[in-house]
Amino acid sequence: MDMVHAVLYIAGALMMGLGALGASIGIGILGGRFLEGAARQPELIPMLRTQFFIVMGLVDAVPMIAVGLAMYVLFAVAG
Amino acid sequence: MRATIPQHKKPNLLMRRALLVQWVLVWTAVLVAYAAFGRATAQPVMSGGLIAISGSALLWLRWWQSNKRVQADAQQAVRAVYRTGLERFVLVVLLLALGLSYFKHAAAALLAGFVLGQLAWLIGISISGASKIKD
Repeated sequence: MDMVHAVLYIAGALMMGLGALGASIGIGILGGRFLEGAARQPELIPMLRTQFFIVMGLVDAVPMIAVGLAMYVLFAVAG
Repeated sequence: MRATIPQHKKPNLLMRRALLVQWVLVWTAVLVAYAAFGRATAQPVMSGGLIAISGSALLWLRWWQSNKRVQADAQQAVRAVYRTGLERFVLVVLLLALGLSYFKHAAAALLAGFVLGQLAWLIGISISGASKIKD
């Protein structure tokens, strides 16, 4: 494997890894805030849970795009 | 007089509206790709869009299931959301890998469709007004 291919594989891996890192930090903060809110006002759990799911979808969407671009680099450019 | 929507039905409406917006935008992109570049490009764009839609549909399904099962358990809700995130990630990566390696779709078109589908989901949620949910 030549140097260019090796760097492309590393780039793809970094894209996926950093995307996953960002998503995990975001969802971790989200989960923590959800638990705080649920502990303060347990009667609001159904509403908070819905918000949690929706915002999780939003937080997840951008790293998914990064995963898509990483797949492009791994399969189309490097492969 | 304005028709009022029962409070408990609002989140479901929001999710469905966001999915509908995503669906409409993806099919519009497929039609544009078909008109501009022909079938060979429209097919991978459609596949990519459908992968994005399947991720959103999984999120909607898990939310609906968790609403039916759990009523006021915060821990179970957190577990359900984290599991859903993982499932979506695995589903999307598997479907993209399948489209690229097994179906041999054009990578740029497939991923353009997928990225567009994800953006359509973001737009759908924004248009539907996630911040307006009160209960």
